[in-house]
Amino acid sequence: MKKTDPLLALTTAALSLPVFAGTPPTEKEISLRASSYEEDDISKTSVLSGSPERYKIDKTHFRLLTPLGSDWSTEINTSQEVMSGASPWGTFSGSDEQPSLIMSGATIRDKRTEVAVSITNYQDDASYGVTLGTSREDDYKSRSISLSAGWDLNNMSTLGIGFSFSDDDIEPTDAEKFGRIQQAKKQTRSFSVSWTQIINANSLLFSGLTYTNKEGFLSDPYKLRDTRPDKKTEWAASLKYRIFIDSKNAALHLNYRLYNDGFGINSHTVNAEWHQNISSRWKISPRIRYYSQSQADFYLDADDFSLPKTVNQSSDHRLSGYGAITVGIQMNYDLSGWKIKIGFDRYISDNRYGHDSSRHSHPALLDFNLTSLGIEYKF
Amino acid sequence: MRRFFLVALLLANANYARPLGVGETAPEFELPSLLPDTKDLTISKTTGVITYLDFWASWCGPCNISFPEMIELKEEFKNQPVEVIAISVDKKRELARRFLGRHRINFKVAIDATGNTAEAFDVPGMPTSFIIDSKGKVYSEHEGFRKGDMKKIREQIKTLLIADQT
Amino acid sequence: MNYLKQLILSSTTILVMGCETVAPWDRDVLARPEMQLSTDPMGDALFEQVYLSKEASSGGYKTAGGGCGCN
Repeated sequence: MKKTDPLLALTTAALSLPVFAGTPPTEKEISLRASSYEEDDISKTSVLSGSPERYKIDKTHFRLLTPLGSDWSTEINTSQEVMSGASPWGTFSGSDEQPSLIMSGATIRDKRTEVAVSITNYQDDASYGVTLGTSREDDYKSRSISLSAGWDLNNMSTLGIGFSFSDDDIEPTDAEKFGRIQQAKKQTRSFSVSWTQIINANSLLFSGLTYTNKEGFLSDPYKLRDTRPDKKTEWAASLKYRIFIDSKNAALHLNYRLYNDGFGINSHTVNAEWHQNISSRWKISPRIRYYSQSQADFYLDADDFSLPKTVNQSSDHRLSGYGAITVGIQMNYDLSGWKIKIGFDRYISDNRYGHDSSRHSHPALLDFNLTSLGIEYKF
Repeated sequence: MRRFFLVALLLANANYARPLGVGETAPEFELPSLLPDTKDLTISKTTGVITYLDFWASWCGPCNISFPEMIELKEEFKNQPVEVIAISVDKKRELARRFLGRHRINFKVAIDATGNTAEAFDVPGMPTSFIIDSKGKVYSEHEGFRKGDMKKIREQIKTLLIADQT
Repeated sequence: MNYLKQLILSSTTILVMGCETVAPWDRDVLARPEMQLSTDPMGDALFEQVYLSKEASSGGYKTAGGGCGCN
């Protein structure tokens, strides 16, 4: 299972413009975060052949943010992931009409490294930033550049715009042995615009719109049969609301994202977090997420080998219609510049949870646990 | 639709309060002191000295940079008729005191929990500082604080000192 | 998509018009760490990466603005 756009998340983290656009950070921050992602094994009854053992990813992420002089700041993010597990190669329709999976065999041990460096310049009420990033693993190389700008208007609103471009090279492993494409390219261009509005002394609302265009090899080269269009456009609109409730000494976060793309997928994501201050040192934040997507136009719940290879089709569970719920909690402990963060989240996906689910539940729909531990120091 | 949006944006930007201008008389104020060993419970603006007046808050990021530079400023002009007064707009004294505990303060600190004094001075952003001349008139206003901003402020105070001596 | 753009434009307009200016000295709550659009950039990056590789959707997250108005 290949990750798409691995750099996007890292460059997004680097470009989150803090507070108001025109304020440079005043302290240095060093952070380290270790996380463990573990999928539940697939039920053996759904597996025709191959290993039912699913993905496990251990990740270490290092971040350094520092002011440079009086008007600049720089941020470095670097992370490494070690991945192992089996992936679905194909989906077959059984005698009972229920699809079952052919999984890859021996577990793969794969490593991915990424680095992103950003520089931001701060003017009165405005800031401008650029980020360069690169990500490498055995079969995938990505380079990206992002530009962003933010303007504070009358101290109550902030306008932001962003542009990013990434250029990826794909070289699937064991290409000759399995008749996979030997080499392919993909390019992604993305534009975003956002507006943050302070509503009153206790609340604010963010709204953002992102347009993305992808071109090149967009199929999954590890599937027995997977042909996708070589162009894809995506639209995502989001709202984020923040409100502080004095009587409870807590902040409520509500996020909503509406997404649709040229593959015919539309999705809704709703997110809620409650940030409860316990004391000046302790904070606890329970969170819940609901996600639902429709299926791609060319999605089939079982591979159809009678179709020519040029016809679009995919039985990838990630293109099926389904819903998912994540429930989690984070605890923060602060002590004179040091911060410890511990988080735990459980994700469950199910055909029954979706707003526009596929007719058959895909057997590869996954559940996972995500645990993370972070240490930060500000000085 | 677009025109409506533009008009709305312009209206929202309109500043209804009359800004405190350079050359105008600085408002009087009487505020409680935040320093524990000061017998005086109130501080009022003094005339006859040049005053560097700084509005700060425990939650204001740039104040981490301005405070060490204010300490240096006060030290530099300690034998001159120059007063440094820092007014906190923190709503809870405890938060202001905690911030002060991290610095070796050598100047006067007061608290304006209601924000009335900040409003009287029409503070445009946090932090904002004013240089008030020996006659009680606003000489300059400085919004925001970046590393090295004290250099320009130092020059302005020196100019005023020279003007007073002649 | 046209409908969505109209919705965003009108709600932004309503917000801008309907919001009473918050004085700089009243920005203590907005400056709180738990009131920022992103309270945990590394955590956000982790989730964004997990979800965009395990689900079909991405984007909409780039942020700007908020808070204390410190300048």
